[in-house]
Amino acid sequence: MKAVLELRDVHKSFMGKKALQGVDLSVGAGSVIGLLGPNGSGKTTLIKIIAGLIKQNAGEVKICGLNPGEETKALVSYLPDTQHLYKWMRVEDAICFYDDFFEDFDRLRCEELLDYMGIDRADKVKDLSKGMYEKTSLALTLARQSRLYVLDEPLGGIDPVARDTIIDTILSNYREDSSFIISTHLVSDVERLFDTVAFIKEGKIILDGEAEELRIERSMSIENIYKEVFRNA
Amino acid sequence: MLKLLKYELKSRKNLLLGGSLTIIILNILIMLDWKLGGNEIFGYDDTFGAILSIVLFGIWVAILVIIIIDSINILRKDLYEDTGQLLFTVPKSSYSILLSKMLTTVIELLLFGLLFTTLMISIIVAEGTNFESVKVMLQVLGENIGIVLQALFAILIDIMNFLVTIYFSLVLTKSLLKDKKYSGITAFGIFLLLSIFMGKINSWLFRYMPYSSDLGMSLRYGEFVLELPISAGESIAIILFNLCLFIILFFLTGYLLEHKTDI
Amino acid sequence: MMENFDEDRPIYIQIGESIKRDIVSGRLKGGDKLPSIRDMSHRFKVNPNTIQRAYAELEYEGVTFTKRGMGTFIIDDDEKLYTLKTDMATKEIENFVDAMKELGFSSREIIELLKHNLKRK
Repeated sequence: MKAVLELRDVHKSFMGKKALQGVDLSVGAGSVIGLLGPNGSGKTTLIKIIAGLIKQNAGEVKICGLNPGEETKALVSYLPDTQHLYKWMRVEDAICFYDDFFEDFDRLRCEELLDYMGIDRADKVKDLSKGMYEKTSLALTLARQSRLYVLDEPLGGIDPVARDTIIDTILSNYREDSSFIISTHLVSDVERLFDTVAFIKEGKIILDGEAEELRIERSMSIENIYKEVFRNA
Repeated sequence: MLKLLKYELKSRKNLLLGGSLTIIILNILIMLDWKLGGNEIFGYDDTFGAILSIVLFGIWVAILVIIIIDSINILRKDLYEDTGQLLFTVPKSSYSILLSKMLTTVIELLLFGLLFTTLMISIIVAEGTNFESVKVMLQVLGENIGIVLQALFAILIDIMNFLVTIYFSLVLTKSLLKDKKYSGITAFGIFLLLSIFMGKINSWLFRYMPYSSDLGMSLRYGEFVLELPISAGESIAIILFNLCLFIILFFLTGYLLEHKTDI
Repeated sequence: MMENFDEDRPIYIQIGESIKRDIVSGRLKGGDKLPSIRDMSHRFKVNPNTIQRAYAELEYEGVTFTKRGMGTFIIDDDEKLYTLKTDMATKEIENFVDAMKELGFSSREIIELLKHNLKRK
């Protein structure tokens, strides 16, 4: 299986503060990987490097064999954990924006997803509730037919119904040639989605492997492993 | 690039439309006031017209200030706010992003500049001045089209240089400091230093470029010829220098944004 | 519908067990086609690779077989299905007996209690 993403000994620090200290990670085609760690563990930094927003200080990052840049941005569909859409936009404008800039964007699919989630395209982005906003940006992100989806905390603080909708959407978007990286600290909600998990602590991946193997090995759910690993964090 | 430009302009729809409409409406009012001056509608004296003119002038200043502030914010916001995570994950080079932002400001200036010119001319016409003076003005412009174009080009380069200096300062600051805390003052400091430096070189060039009277600029109107105190050679050298400066700063800014800046 | 799994155990094993229970109870019959991996992944809200693994395990155990390009089917072999049924029954009984023994009941007592319980029903 050819790796969609390959990270080798990636380091990053901000003004002397170490955010990543030698991360190695390989994501094969068709896998859904859970990037698990508490706030401040380096999840967002790692994801932003993959999205091409942050440059590593040392180490190698390859996305489908390419260094992060203009080309890889066309391959990676990124969901930030912030309100990234412009305030002046209506949902409709955001759709047009994605449609204009991302060749792999499927407009019909996006409209289908938004309808399914009950979002009005005439709504102003800045008037959307937190849950609605997350659904909107998830629909935009998942309507791209990308090689790699990187979702930063896609389930942060939304209600269980919305959570199920989002999980459904992620599952229905699964393709054998595309991969997902999903960062979260709310493990129990989504642990069934992952086939691989990587636990990240203080900028290092301290445990990773196939989710089912870890369950067999430790007779524990991923959530309980998470609790054990981060007990002192 | 054009798509990026489209969204920058779209986000400024309100400013562009609102500004234009306000100016047009006020101008129409002023023209009516002049036309009907002394009539019952606007009173006997011209107080109303004077107030309108002051308001119009105020709006012009306000628009200019807004455009300058906006030319900073157009990049600063995407560097420091969450929207950067949308803009900078778009598969476009940092150079197209920078250029689209610059062009947005240039287009804004052009739009309001044209509006201003058109309205000035229409006021002159409405005022009932003899068309001769307008004709003469156009004739002068026509006969000296070379100088006019050169001057316009020089202004364009100056504006682009002003903008790229702002962007360079912002991007350099962002790549040096992670915190937003002192970013404003740092960027302003860098901008000031660069501007002083560029100004010094410009005045140095102006002083020491060999003066040749053959290339001396003159403004012609029929038999009338006005010798200008600067030579075409000089100003072309300055324009070229500024153009080079622009290109260097532009690519430097783009490089920093692409490779050294964390969003 | 979100099936309740005990996430401390591998999910693919639990999905396999759930399918086997459906076969034994008669909800699924010999020769029936199993839902596609995509449908199952939606039904259980689990990663498609996990369903894939559960199906592979069932096939390995001889409970199902794959027709190329058609999908996964339950074997149409009454004898084998009967074995599956008795196997599962045996496992349940073993669990029950182990639990009772741990509570300190003797074999005779267990039988008596069982008889009593069955009669009452």
